[in-house]
Amino acid sequence: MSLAPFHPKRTPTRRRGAALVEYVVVLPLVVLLFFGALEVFRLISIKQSLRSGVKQAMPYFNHWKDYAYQGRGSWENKVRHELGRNPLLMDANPPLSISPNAATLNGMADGEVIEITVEVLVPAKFVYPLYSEPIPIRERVVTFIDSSPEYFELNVATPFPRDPAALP
Amino acid sequence: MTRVSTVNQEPSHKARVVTLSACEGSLEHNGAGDAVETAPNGPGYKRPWGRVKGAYRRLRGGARRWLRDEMGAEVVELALVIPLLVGIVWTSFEFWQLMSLRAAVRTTTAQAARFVTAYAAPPDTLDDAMPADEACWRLQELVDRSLRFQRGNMGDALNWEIHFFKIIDPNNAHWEGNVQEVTCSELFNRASGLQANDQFGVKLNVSVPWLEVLFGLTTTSTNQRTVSFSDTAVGSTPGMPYGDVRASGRTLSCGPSGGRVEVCWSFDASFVPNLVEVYRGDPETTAPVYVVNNPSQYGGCSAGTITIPVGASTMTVIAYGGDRELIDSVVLTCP
Repeated sequence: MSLAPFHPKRTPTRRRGAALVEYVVVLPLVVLLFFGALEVFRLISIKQSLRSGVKQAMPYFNHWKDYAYQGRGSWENKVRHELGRNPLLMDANPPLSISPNAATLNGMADGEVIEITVEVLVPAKFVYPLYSEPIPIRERVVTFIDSSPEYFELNVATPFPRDPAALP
Repeated sequence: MTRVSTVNQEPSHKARVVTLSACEGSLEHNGAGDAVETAPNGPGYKRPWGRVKGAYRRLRGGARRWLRDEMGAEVVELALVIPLLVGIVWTSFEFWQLMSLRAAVRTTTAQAARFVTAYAAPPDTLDDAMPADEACWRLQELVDRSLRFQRGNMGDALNWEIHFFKIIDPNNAHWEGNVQEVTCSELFNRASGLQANDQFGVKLNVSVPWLEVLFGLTTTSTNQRTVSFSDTAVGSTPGMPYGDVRASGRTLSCGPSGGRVEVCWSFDASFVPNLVEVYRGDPETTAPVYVVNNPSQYGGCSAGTITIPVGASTMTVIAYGGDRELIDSVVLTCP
């Protein structure tokens, strides 16, 4: 007499194909784990690039009252340049928001504390079918308005630095 | 399956048939004798002690079966391992927080030292630099806000204190015995604080109650054990601060009634005043004898000569932003 397919006495003795079933069940999880780990590594790498970019852009905030720094480029270019060096970003022009802006800095006093917050929106790549929303990566540093010629009420129209050889 | 055990077959005895609802294994363990009661002193009589032993055997047999049974072993293992696993993950996360805090302490200390470099040493000729009390609270705000970003789940449990040191001998590489601890106000004091080319040290101590950090427990008055980080940064004030202005004079000729002097001035690389005036005597009571509007950024000299009596002096004044500063005084001396 044959037992029903799911009879309690039948299942322990019939194990053929169990490994295949387990493999099929586990494989998506392993693949998800693998690509998820890649995605996390990618985001951490971008975070490091962002941190490096913010550190390079920080003097532009520090010396904002020194007009010479204002004319030498923007902090956004510094951050974008550093992000662009990371091949894992896979986005030539990611949305970037930086605070404070120039108007806020103009109203700051000498020695005042600046909280620089830079946020970049990074779309997921390795787990894109599962999560398509842009992932915000944020970097924050605290620094201050450095002393500048304006702090000493100097003539801010004077180019800086000058040619030392031209000094008497 | 049910098996009936009838041990004593003699009809004279009141044999009670006991039904054992068990499998074969239970019968083997228990035997048949302990399941039957017979008359005292009869052929099949067993004393009550036998029942106790039987119960013990059953209990022992059950315990053995329970111990040998592997059903649910995975669940038990999981229950044992999960708290350990969660503990390891949580502790790793907390250590990561601590390492992050340690990096923040180093960054903050460097920022504090840079602040001191920027604002501690006023220019020689300017008196509108940041007052000491303002510099101190701005520095305190800088440290506090810089560390606050790194607190994470530490809440407000973070405590910090900052110490300032003046390095006595810059040529001595040793710290011990070569530093003098000063307060923030003393460090930024215009007269007794740091001067140009002085070296200083900033030491930042940060402590966190370790129970709160590692296990998320609320700080209590009895929890005084802390994890502490400390970092020291050394810096120096600029040798030639912004706005440094120099003036000097020399005697060109000298006679009984007086002589001629020439006054020269130079500016720091980033500073040009709006006006240079040379007075013959007190600037407050006399008119200038030589005036240069919008002077050259490289400095200059009085184009002609200034005649003054012997023993008198010229006063050189610069003006900028509505302020006037006396920068030099030349006394005519004849050999």
